[in-house]
Amino acid sequence: MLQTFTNYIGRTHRVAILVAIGILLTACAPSISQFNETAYQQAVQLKVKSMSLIDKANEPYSAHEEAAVQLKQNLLTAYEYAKGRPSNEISTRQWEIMVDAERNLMGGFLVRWKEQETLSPAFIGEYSKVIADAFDTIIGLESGKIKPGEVE
Amino acid sequence: MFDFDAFLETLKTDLTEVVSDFGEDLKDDLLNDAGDFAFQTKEDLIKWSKMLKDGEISADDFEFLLKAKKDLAEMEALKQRGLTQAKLDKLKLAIMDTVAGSVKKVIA
Repeated sequence: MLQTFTNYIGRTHRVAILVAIGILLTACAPSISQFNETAYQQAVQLKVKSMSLIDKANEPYSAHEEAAVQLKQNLLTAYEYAKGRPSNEISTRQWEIMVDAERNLMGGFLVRWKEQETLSPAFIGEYSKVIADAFDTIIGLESGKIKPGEVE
Repeated sequence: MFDFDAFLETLKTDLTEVVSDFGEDLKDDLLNDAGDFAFQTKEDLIKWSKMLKDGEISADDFEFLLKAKKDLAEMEALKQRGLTQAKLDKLKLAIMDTVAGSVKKVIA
Protein backbone atom coordinates (compact mmCIF):
# COMPACT_ATOMS: atom_id res chain seq x y z
CA MET A 1 0.00 0.00 0.00
CA LEU A 2 2.79 2.40 1.04
CA GLN A 3 4.83 1.35 -2.00
CA THR A 4 1.84 2.02 -4.28
CA PHE A 5 1.36 5.46 -2.70
CA THR A 6 5.07 6.28 -3.13
CA ASN A 7 4.89 5.20 -6.77
CA TYR A 8 1.78 7.35 -7.23
CA ILE A 9 3.50 10.42 -5.74
CA GLY A 10 6.58 9.74 -7.85
CA ARG A 11 4.53 9.52 -11.02
CA THR A 12 2.55 12.65 -10.12
CA HIS A 13 5.75 14.52 -9.37
CA ARG A 14 7.31 13.49 -12.68
CA VAL A 15 4.17 14.36 -14.61
CA ALA A 16 4.12 17.77 -12.90
CA ILE A 17 7.74 18.34 -13.88
CA LEU A 18 7.01 17.34 -17.47
CA VAL A 19 4.01 19.69 -17.55
CA ALA A 20 6.18 22.50 -16.14
CA ILE A 21 8.80 21.84 -18.79
CA GLY A 22 6.09 21.89 -21.44
CA ILE A 23 4.87 25.27 -20.20
CA LEU A 24 8.45 26.50 -20.10
CA LEU A 25 9.02 25.32 -23.67
CA THR A 26 5.92 27.18 -24.82
CA ALA A 27 6.93 30.35 -22.98
CA CYS A 28 10.39 30.12 -24.48
CA ALA A 29 9.22 29.82 -28.08
CA PRO A 30 11.54 31.98 -30.19
CA SER A 31 10.23 35.51 -30.79
CA ILE A 32 12.07 35.77 -34.10
CA SER A 33 12.56 33.23 -36.88
CA GLN A 34 15.68 31.10 -37.03
CA PHE A 35 18.44 31.64 -39.58
CA ASN A 36 17.38 30.51 -43.04
CA GLU A 37 20.07 29.68 -45.61
CA THR A 38 17.76 30.29 -48.58
CA ALA A 39 16.79 33.75 -47.30
CA TYR A 40 20.45 34.58 -46.71
CA GLN A 41 21.55 33.46 -50.20
CA GLN A 42 18.58 35.25 -51.74
CA ALA A 43 19.57 38.55 -50.09
CA VAL A 44 23.24 38.20 -51.10
CA GLN A 45 22.37 37.39 -54.73
CA LEU A 46 19.86 40.23 -54.96
CA LYS A 47 22.43 42.66 -53.56
CA VAL A 48 24.90 41.67 -56.29
CA LYS A 49 22.25 41.85 -59.05
CA SER A 50 20.92 45.21 -57.80
CA MET A 51 24.39 46.76 -57.59
CA SER A 52 25.16 45.53 -61.09
CA LEU A 53 21.98 47.04 -62.53
CA ILE A 54 22.37 50.36 -60.66
CA ASP A 55 25.82 50.69 -62.26
CA LYS A 56 24.10 50.70 -65.67
CA ALA A 57 21.57 53.40 -64.81
CA ASN A 58 23.53 56.06 -66.74
CA GLU A 59 22.40 54.11 -69.83
CA PRO A 60 18.77 54.26 -71.09
CA TYR A 61 16.28 52.31 -68.97
CA SER A 62 14.71 50.94 -72.16
CA ALA A 63 17.98 49.14 -72.96
CA HIS A 64 17.80 47.32 -69.62
CA GLU A 65 14.06 47.04 -69.13
CA GLU A 66 14.02 43.24 -69.25
CA ALA A 67 16.70 42.99 -66.56
CA ALA A 68 14.94 45.64 -64.46
CA VAL A 69 11.59 43.84 -64.64
CA GLN A 70 13.29 40.53 -63.79
CA LEU A 71 15.06 42.09 -60.81
CA LYS A 72 11.81 43.60 -59.55
CA GLN A 73 10.18 40.15 -59.76
CA ASN A 74 13.06 38.61 -57.83
CA LEU A 75 12.85 41.31 -55.15
CA LEU A 76 9.12 40.72 -54.78
CA THR A 77 9.76 36.97 -54.54
CA ALA A 78 12.21 37.59 -51.69
CA TYR A 79 9.60 39.78 -49.96
CA GLU A 80 6.92 37.10 -50.31
CA TYR A 81 9.34 34.42 -49.09
CA ALA A 82 10.12 36.51 -45.99
CA LYS A 83 6.42 37.17 -45.42
CA GLY A 84 5.63 33.46 -45.54
CA ARG A 85 8.08 32.50 -42.79
CA PRO A 86 6.68 32.34 -39.24
CA SER A 87 7.85 34.97 -36.69
CA ASN A 88 9.61 36.84 -39.46
CA GLU A 89 7.86 40.22 -39.27
CA ILE A 90 11.03 42.29 -38.90
CA SER A 91 12.78 40.86 -41.98
CA THR A 92 9.50 41.15 -43.87
CA ARG A 93 9.29 44.84 -42.94
CA GLN A 94 12.85 45.33 -44.22
CA TRP A 95 11.96 43.77 -47.59
CA GLU A 96 8.77 45.83 -47.68
CA ILE A 97 10.82 49.04 -47.43
CA MET A 98 13.28 47.72 -50.02
CA VAL A 99 10.62 46.96 -52.67
CA ASP A 100 8.17 49.81 -51.97
CA ALA A 101 7.82 51.83 -55.19
CA GLU A 102 6.72 54.86 -53.15
CA ARG A 103 9.91 54.88 -51.11
CA ASN A 104 13.54 55.38 -52.09
CA LEU A 105 15.31 52.04 -52.07
CA MET A 106 15.19 49.50 -54.94
CA GLY A 107 11.45 49.79 -55.61
CA GLY A 108 11.63 53.57 -55.86
CA PHE A 109 14.91 53.49 -57.77
CA LEU A 110 13.48 51.32 -60.57
CA VAL A 111 10.51 53.67 -60.91
CA ARG A 112 12.76 56.74 -61.00
CA TRP A 113 15.11 55.21 -63.60
CA LYS A 114 12.15 54.30 -65.81
CA GLU A 115 10.67 57.79 -65.49
CA GLN A 116 13.92 59.65 -66.14
CA GLU A 117 15.34 57.14 -68.68
CA THR A 118 18.94 57.85 -67.55
CA LEU A 119 20.47 58.90 -64.23
CA SER A 120 23.67 60.83 -63.60
CA PRO A 121 26.91 58.96 -62.81
CA ALA A 122 27.44 61.16 -59.72
CA PHE A 123 24.02 60.19 -58.35
CA ILE A 124 24.60 56.51 -59.20
CA GLY A 125 27.95 56.51 -57.42
CA GLU A 126 26.43 57.83 -54.19
CA TYR A 127 23.20 55.88 -54.40
CA SER A 128 24.85 52.49 -54.91
CA LYS A 129 26.58 52.89 -51.53
CA VAL A 130 23.24 53.48 -49.80
CA ILE A 131 21.71 50.42 -51.47
CA ALA A 132 24.69 48.24 -50.55
CA ASP A 133 24.25 49.28 -46.91
CA ALA A 134 20.50 48.65 -47.08
CA PHE A 135 21.02 45.08 -48.33
CA ASP A 136 23.65 44.61 -45.62
CA THR A 137 21.02 45.33 -42.95
CA ILE A 138 18.89 42.46 -44.31
CA ILE A 139 21.89 40.14 -44.61
CA GLY A 140 23.19 41.19 -41.18
CA LEU A 141 19.88 40.46 -39.48
CA GLU A 142 19.50 37.07 -41.15
CA SER A 143 23.03 36.00 -40.23
CA GLY A 144 22.49 37.16 -36.61
CA LYS A 145 19.50 34.89 -36.08
CA ILE A 146 19.74 31.65 -34.14
CA LYS A 147 21.19 28.87 -36.32
CA PRO A 148 19.24 25.58 -36.39
CA GLY A 149 22.24 23.83 -34.78
CA GLU A 150 21.99 26.13 -31.76
CA VAL A 151 18.47 24.85 -30.96
CA GLU A 152 18.41 21.43 -29.35
CA MET B 1 24.31 74.36 -46.16
CA PHE B 2 22.46 71.20 -45.23
CA ASP B 3 20.72 71.46 -41.83
CA PHE B 4 21.96 68.26 -40.24
CA ASP B 5 20.38 68.96 -36.83
CA ALA B 6 16.93 69.37 -38.38
CA PHE B 7 17.45 66.14 -40.32
CA LEU B 8 18.51 64.32 -37.14
CA GLU B 9 15.42 65.50 -35.24
CA THR B 10 13.09 64.40 -38.07
CA LEU B 11 14.85 61.07 -38.28
CA LYS B 12 14.53 60.44 -34.53
CA THR B 13 10.82 61.27 -34.63
CA ASP B 14 10.28 58.87 -37.53
CA LEU B 15 12.26 56.11 -35.86
CA THR B 16 10.40 56.43 -32.56
CA GLU B 17 7.50 54.64 -34.25
CA VAL B 18 9.74 51.78 -35.39
CA VAL B 19 10.95 51.05 -31.84
CA SER B 20 7.73 52.03 -30.04
CA ASP B 21 6.81 48.56 -28.77
CA PHE B 22 10.03 48.13 -26.79
CA GLY B 23 10.56 49.00 -23.15
CA GLU B 24 11.72 52.53 -22.36
CA ASP B 25 15.34 51.53 -21.66
CA LEU B 26 15.64 49.48 -24.83
CA LYS B 27 13.83 52.15 -26.84
CA ASP B 28 16.34 54.77 -25.69
CA ASP B 29 19.22 52.47 -26.62
CA LEU B 30 17.77 51.86 -30.07
CA LEU B 31 17.20 55.58 -30.64
CA ASN B 32 20.75 56.32 -29.51
CA ASP B 33 21.97 53.70 -32.01
CA ALA B 34 19.94 55.49 -34.67
CA GLY B 35 21.49 58.80 -33.62
CA ASP B 36 24.96 57.25 -33.85
CA PHE B 37 24.05 55.95 -37.29
CA ALA B 38 22.94 59.41 -38.37
CA PHE B 39 26.14 60.99 -37.13
CA GLN B 40 28.13 58.36 -39.00
CA THR B 41 26.34 59.47 -42.17
CA LYS B 42 26.81 63.17 -41.49
CA GLU B 43 29.83 63.15 -43.80
CA ASP B 44 27.71 61.82 -46.68
CA LEU B 45 25.02 64.41 -46.14
CA ILE B 46 27.50 67.28 -46.12
CA LYS B 47 29.18 65.81 -49.23
CA TRP B 48 25.84 65.60 -51.06
CA SER B 49 24.93 69.18 -50.17
CA LYS B 50 28.28 70.26 -51.66
CA MET B 51 27.63 68.16 -54.79
CA LEU B 52 24.23 69.84 -55.08
CA LYS B 53 25.78 73.29 -54.71
CA ASP B 54 28.44 72.45 -57.34
CA GLY B 55 25.80 71.16 -59.75
CA GLU B 56 27.10 67.57 -59.77
CA ILE B 57 23.68 66.28 -58.71
CA SER B 58 20.24 67.80 -59.14
CA ALA B 59 17.88 68.87 -56.36
CA ASP B 60 15.79 65.77 -57.17
CA ASP B 61 18.88 63.57 -56.87
CA PHE B 62 19.69 65.15 -53.51
CA GLU B 63 16.18 64.67 -52.20
CA PHE B 64 16.09 61.06 -53.41
CA LEU B 65 19.43 60.31 -51.72
CA LEU B 66 18.28 61.93 -48.50
CA LYS B 67 15.06 59.93 -48.42
CA ALA B 68 16.98 56.75 -49.27
CA LYS B 69 19.24 57.47 -46.30
CA LYS B 70 16.19 57.78 -44.05
CA ASP B 71 14.89 54.45 -45.38
CA LEU B 72 18.31 52.99 -44.66
CA ALA B 73 18.16 54.34 -41.09
CA GLU B 74 14.82 52.56 -40.64
CA MET B 75 16.29 49.34 -42.05
CA GLU B 76 19.21 49.65 -39.62
CA ALA B 77 16.84 50.21 -36.67
CA LEU B 78 14.87 47.11 -37.72
CA LYS B 79 18.09 45.11 -37.91
CA GLN B 80 19.09 46.20 -34.40
CA ARG B 81 15.61 45.35 -33.13
CA GLY B 82 15.78 41.89 -34.74
CA LEU B 83 19.26 41.20 -33.41
CA THR B 84 18.12 42.20 -29.92
CA GLN B 85 15.24 39.72 -30.16
CA ALA B 86 17.61 37.01 -31.42
CA LYS B 87 19.94 37.65 -28.46
CA LEU B 88 17.02 37.37 -26.04
CA ASP B 89 15.97 34.11 -27.73
CA LYS B 90 19.50 32.76 -27.32
CA LEU B 91 19.41 33.71 -23.64
CA LYS B 92 16.04 31.98 -23.19
CA LEU B 93 17.41 28.85 -24.87
CA ALA B 94 20.44 28.87 -22.58
CA ILE B 95 18.18 29.21 -19.51
CA MET B 96 15.93 26.43 -20.78
CA ASP B 97 18.94 24.11 -21.28
CA THR B 98 20.11 24.86 -17.75
CA VAL B 99 16.65 24.20 -16.28
CA ALA B 100 16.30 20.98 -18.28
CA GLY B 101 19.74 19.86 -17.06
CA SER B 102 18.80 20.55 -13.44
CA VAL B 103 15.50 18.67 -13.78
CA LYS B 104 17.30 15.66 -15.25
CA LYS B 105 19.69 15.61 -12.28
CA VAL B 106 16.80 15.77 -9.79
CA ILE B 107 14.65 13.05 -11.35
CA ALA B 108 17.53 10.75 -12.26
